[in-house]
Amino acid sequence: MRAESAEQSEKLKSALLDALTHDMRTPLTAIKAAATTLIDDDILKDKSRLDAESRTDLLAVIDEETDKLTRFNQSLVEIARIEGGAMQIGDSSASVAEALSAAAKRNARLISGRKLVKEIPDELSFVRIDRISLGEIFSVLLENAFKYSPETEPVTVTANDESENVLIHIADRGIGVRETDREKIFEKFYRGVNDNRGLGLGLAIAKGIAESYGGSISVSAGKDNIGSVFTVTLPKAD
Amino acid sequence: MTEREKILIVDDEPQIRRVLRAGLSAKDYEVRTAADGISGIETFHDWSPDLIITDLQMPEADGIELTREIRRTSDVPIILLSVKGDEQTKVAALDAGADDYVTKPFGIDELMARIRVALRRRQLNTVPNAKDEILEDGDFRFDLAVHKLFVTGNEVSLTPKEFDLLLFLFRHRDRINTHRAILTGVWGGNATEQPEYLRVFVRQLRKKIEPDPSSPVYLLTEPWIGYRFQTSSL
Repeated sequence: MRAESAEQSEKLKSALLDALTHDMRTPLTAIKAAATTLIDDDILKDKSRLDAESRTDLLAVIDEETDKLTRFNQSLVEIARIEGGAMQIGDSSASVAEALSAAAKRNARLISGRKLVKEIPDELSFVRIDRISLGEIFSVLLENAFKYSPETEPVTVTANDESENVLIHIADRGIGVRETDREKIFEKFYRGVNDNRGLGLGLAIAKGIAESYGGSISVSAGKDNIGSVFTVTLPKAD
Repeated sequence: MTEREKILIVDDEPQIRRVLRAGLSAKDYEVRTAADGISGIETFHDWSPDLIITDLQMPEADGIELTREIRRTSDVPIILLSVKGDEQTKVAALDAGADDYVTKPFGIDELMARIRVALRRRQLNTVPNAKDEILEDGDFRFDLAVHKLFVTGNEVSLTPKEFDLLLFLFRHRDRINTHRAILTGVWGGNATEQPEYLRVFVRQLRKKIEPDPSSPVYLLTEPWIGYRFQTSSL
């Protein structure tokens, strides 16, 4: 059990490290290129080269990208904490409804004005996972669901017990995931062909967390082949 | 006022497009952007830019596919935006015909230096010189009629193969040449699996042309990728 746990912990660590280098590079590139433009000798000497609008835009890019790195950093701190706690897998239990509310709160800005339908039965079992870890998984999945679907469409979360596990389904009516991409989107670095907005820790991390608690995440097509349904499977708490 | 040179930026990250558009416009280039390889190719055909800067990894057509498609009809300089540690992809894109790469994150000055070199190469290439008997640039002068090389005015004695190799590098100067491209260009298609050939010849050439062969200024190594030749020590 301990060896298995250590192996899972290593897997998560490696996924984190890869995601870290990958997801930090774009903000860093934007910030570096913007800052070096603003302090370029030619441009400093001749202010007319860069009009006020472009100057403001470059500063806005630096501001936005720094925020991205800050959010990224916060997520990493959380996950590092979770990873430290992953050794006490047997002791933790979390409520799906609570973790979902916490994740929705974290994505409030993205969700604002849109519809999140939660159909979680009161009698649903608790799951064997740290509540912050579960919140992190939901956060990644909710962010994706809202980001990749039209503003007019709702995101629906349902859950049910199934033998030793709890299944949670997050369904959107968005751009969907091509059948050939359904395994790959959980791989490190992979971005689907429809994805030009990839940011954040993403599915590789969510999957890494789920697996380190003995669970899994998978994706299938939505109803009438529209959108996607992400299913999180986690063991019931004792 | 002279017409501004046109640069096409192809990158799927909107913030990179915003920054490069502002930065390069401030440096007197006319800039257009595209968010993926396919619209990049369309803009290339509609607008005929003087240079293309493209990200390597993009949805739809990536940097390699874009390079391959553009090279079918044009030798416009192509600079790749790449990441450290992705040598295989870089080599594939350079073999497809890209000229150079810049590793993220980069400063605008570093990108500008690569742009200037690539545009200069383009201007040199537009002057027909294939049949000229004298080729001259920077510190190097080739007299093709008598197979002689002069570096900073001094004759340097080369073996025929060394001469061919250096001439190839001279004709493809100011860009990165992959091992495969050099081996194919100088030794023919069967030699591509023998990069040790190249290392031996490069070492010999450096002894003859470099002021200090242990820290070359003309014939530079691009680790894991190939070589870059420049005609003056910058």
